[in-house]
Parts: sequence; structure tokens; C-alpha cells
Amino acid sequence: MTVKRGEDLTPSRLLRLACPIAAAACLTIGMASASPGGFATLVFVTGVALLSALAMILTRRWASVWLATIALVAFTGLAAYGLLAQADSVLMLAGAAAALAGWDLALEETRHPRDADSGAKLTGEIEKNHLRSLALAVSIGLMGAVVGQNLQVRLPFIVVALLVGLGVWMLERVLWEVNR
Amino acid sequence: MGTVNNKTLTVSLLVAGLFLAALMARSGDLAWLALLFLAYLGVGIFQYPARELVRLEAERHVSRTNGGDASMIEVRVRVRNLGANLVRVALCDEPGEGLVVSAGALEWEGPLRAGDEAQLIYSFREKRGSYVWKTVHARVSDPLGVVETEYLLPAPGEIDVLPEQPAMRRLPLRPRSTLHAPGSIPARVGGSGTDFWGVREYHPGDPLRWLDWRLTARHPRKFFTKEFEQEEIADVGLIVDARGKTNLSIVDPISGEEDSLFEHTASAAGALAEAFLHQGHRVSMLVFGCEAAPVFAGYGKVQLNKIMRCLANTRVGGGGIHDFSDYLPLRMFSSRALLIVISPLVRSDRSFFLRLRAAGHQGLLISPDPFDFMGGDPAQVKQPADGAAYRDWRRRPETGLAVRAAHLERNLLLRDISQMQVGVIDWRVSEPLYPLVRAALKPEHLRRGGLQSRKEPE
Repeated sequence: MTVKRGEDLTPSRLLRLACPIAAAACLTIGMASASPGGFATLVFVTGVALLSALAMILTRRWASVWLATIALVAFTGLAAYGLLAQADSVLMLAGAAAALAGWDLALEETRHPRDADSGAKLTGEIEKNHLRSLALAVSIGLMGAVVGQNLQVRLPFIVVALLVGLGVWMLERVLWEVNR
Repeated sequence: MGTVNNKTLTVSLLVAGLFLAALMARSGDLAWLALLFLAYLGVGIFQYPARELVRLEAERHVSRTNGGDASMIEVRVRVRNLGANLVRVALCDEPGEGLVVSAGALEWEGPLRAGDEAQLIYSFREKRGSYVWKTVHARVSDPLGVVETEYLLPAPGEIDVLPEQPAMRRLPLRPRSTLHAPGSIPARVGGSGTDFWGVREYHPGDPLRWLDWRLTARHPRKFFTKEFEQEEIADVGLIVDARGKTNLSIVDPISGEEDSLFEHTASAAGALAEAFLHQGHRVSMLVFGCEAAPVFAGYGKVQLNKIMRCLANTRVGGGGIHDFSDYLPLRMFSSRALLIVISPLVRSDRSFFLRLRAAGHQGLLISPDPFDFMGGDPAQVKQPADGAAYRDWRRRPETGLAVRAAHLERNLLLRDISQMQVGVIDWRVSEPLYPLVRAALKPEHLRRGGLQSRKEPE
């Protein structure tokens, strides 16, 4: 484990360890309940989930942002595959949300190592602020996605395509605005 | 300017990928999965403080402190949030070139409430140089770190770390020619002074109290005035060698500190400039190394400040035209100036002293001894088994012979220069310079030239 002896197990650290495990567990259980491709697929999915969780946990030790990002992509891919394979959507969304939170916390910790000379109190304040915002983002996203999946709206393909195009364009505009 | 970092880019790509996958698979579930990531981006962007609401002010304070065995320089940067919002700020300061921070941190990150201030405090060991800071970097971001804006806050500060100056008492200077300005050096010219110089016929305007009444009594129709030796100031030019090829550096294996022969050269130049200016003389300086840095002739504390700043800013190096002492602009010194050259010397420098003498200058060479600087007495290299104080390179017979040969070559060069009627000081940097300079500046030595060095132990 990455927790060194004598280090405080802060909420942030606890969550950073718990989130990838939770993500792997949710995705594996969700896929197991649906068993879309038989035992071999389940073993593959479990292996990928566990490896991704391990990679996210070891991000701090190797100070590699890419490791966590690859793990997030893998988790998201598994969640998307699960959703397409009619696995339990709540578990899939929860898995993706936990992966997002784990990825964010892993990146945050590589950015501000605990043993940095900035004072524990300030680090605590940063953590508190960050966790509050992360909780807000994940809960809004998760609630929206769960509610949205339960809504049965039938739209023609062309409208969906236009909506997706509009969404991508809006996202690009927002990023352009931020850059400006 | 706001910047999209890797975090934002990753999440955006995931969102775009999920949307496209949803479109291709005609699956609404995948589109809803993208909402999770969109919410993450949205919360970050929503919580990012508006640029006009971010008001940060920085202030820098640079001071000297005493950090045990060495003087330290402490830098404090205060950043205050004058805006009304809480912002998450990451501060980053850059130390001066070549500085190694020995205590404190150059970075700070944390939330800054309205009216709060954050401080960056760090210190470094004093090292000769001129250090200037203009700004401090501040990066303001939302709590999730999705959107970041980089600010360059003006926080000016500067400090000059002058070369160490060994204390020098009054130097008995008696140059061949002086400047016509009242000073302390007997100028071998009649005028107003304190020492009797001679008697001449009275000129209208001479003070009556200077009339030589005895002589006047012997010559009834004439008046005679006493003359005193005029006391004037000297014009001194310092030429400081900052060439890379004459410099040596040693890194202490324990403390990791670097010491270089040029530091001793700079100290000597600073001490001499201070001593001469304190005595009221006119001093100019030319440092040649990476480039020729002249300080034109002047007097007093302002000139001392100019010289010290020039020495503080000097970097050892070279390779251009100033690497050759043949091209030094000697014309910046007046022909009456006594030129003091401080250089460890290389063989090709001989011609420079010929040029100096040909231009009619009186010269004095102070040559810091590189062998002494490298640690140990070169005279004892011939006894490598004697004691443990010798370094490895001295212990080996082949390098010991090389050192002896180089030392002999240096002695020959110094002797050669001294025969050009240039005073020469072979200065062992571990010993005080003052007694050697005092002896070398005696009129008989300065006029005839000659080699001043510490007596070799029997």
C-alpha cells in the first residue's frame, strides 16, 4: 500500500484508496450480474478493473499522472461496455463516478504531496475545499445520469445527432472562452 | 490568461468520446454517462472566480540575516487577497541565477480568503552577485483545479552581495605623478602645503604670512615668498582579471560550497578601491572577462559604490576579444595613473605589461597564487610523504613534478614582469594582502619594480 507508516489517514487519502476499489467492485459486480459474454469476459473485466484500481492507487508512488488517466479511461470504457451490455446501470454509473473521484484525488495528491513544506493546516483547508467541490460535482453528475437513464424519451436519430453536435460545440466554446 | 490543463482536456475528451460512442451505438445510456463528466467540468468552471474579482497584491522584502556560520539572505514575499472572494492560489517564486535555496520553500498553495495574506519565505547563503526580482507567479484556480489563470504579480526587490573586503589600513602611496587636486601625497611641486619646499621671488597676490622676512631683509629691494610642497591626489586604475582561463574553482566535498580564485581577486580589488578612495584618491577600474566592464575615474563613496556593484555583477568567463589582454583599452586610464593589475596570469600576459610600460604607466601586479589556493605549500610538494595535508594530486609523483614545473614557470614569469620595472606581488591568498601591498607601494619599490612575496620557510 502507498500509506507510509506514521502518516495520517486523512479523508482525502482514505477516499483516494477507497474510490478505485469501489469502482472496480461496482463494475465487476455489475458485469457479473449481467454476465454479457460468459465467464471469460467476466474474468477479463475483473482483471482490467483490478489492474486499473491498482494503477490509480500506485499513481502517487510513481508520481505518474498518465497512469491514473489510463486507469480512468479503462474504467470509463468498462462502464460504457457494461451499459451497452445491459448491466446494472446504477452500478455502472457508480463505478464510473468512483473512478472519476479516484482519478481526481490521485491527480490532486501528485500535485500536492502531503510532505510538502506548506503546513498541515493549509493542506487540510485545500483538501476540505477540494473534497466539497468533488462531492458536489460527483453527486450532481450521478443524480443527473441516474435520473436521465430512467427517463424514457424517444427522439429521432437526427435530433439526437444534432443535440450531440450542439453539446460538443458548446463544450468547445466553453473551453475556448476559458482559454481566452 | 486562463489555461486548459491536462485535467480539463482528459475530461473533455472523455465526454466527446462518450457522446460519439452514444451516437454510433444509438445508446442514450452512454450519453447520460457523459453527464457525469460534464457535471465535473461544470462545477469547476462555475466555481472559478471571475478575473475582475481576483485582486492580488504582492510585496517583497529582501534582508540579510545571520544564519550561524555564514550570512544568509532572506526573501519574504507577501501576497494579499484584496478581492472579495475566496480564491485558491498557488504561488511560485524564482530564486536568482545560480542560487541554491538553503531554507524555506519557493512554492506555496492554499486557499486565500478576502483580506488574507500568504507568505513565501526562503533564504539562501550569501554569494557575490547582484540579485533582482521583478515578479512573483500566482496561479489562481477553482477548487477542482479545472480552470487555472496565471498572474505575474509585480513584486520588485533587489540586493547586491558585495565581495568580502579584508580591512586595509592607510596605504603609503607615492606615485611618480599626481593629479592637480588637493590631496595627501607630496607632489614634488611648490605650492600650498605643510612641508617646506623652497623660496621664490614674491608675486603679487601671495599671502603676506608666507613672506620669508630673513631673505627679504638681506635683499632690500626684493620680497621673497616661502613655498611649500604641494599635496595632491593620486590617480589609481585597477585592472581586474575575470577570465575563465585564469580562474580556478574548488568545491568543498562536505558543504558543497564552491570557492573560486576570482573571489579572492574581487576581494582584493574591493579592498584596494576602498582604501584608495578613503584616502581621497581618484580610482577607476576595468574588469575583463566575459566582457570588459569599465568604471570610469571618480572619487568618494559614490565611486566606491559603483566599483563594488561592478565587482558584484562580474561573472567569470571569456573567450571573446577580451580574453586577450593585448586588446585591453588602456586609454581609459590617464597617463598619470598608477595601474594595479590583479591577475593570476597566464604566459601570454607578458606582452600586456610591455604595452603598459610602453604607454608610460606605472604598474603594480598583484598575482593571486593558484597553487596556494589549491591548498598546500608548493615548496613542500617535493616531500609527498610528509603529512596528510596534501591532496591526492600532490601525492602522486608525476603530478607533483607537474606542479613544481608550473610553479617554476610562474616564478619565471613574475620575475620577468618585475624586470620591466613593474612592482610584482606574489600573493598567497591564504595570507593577508595588506603587508605586501604596503611594502610594494614604497617609492623605491614602485619606481624600480621588484618581486614581493612571503619569505619561504627554511
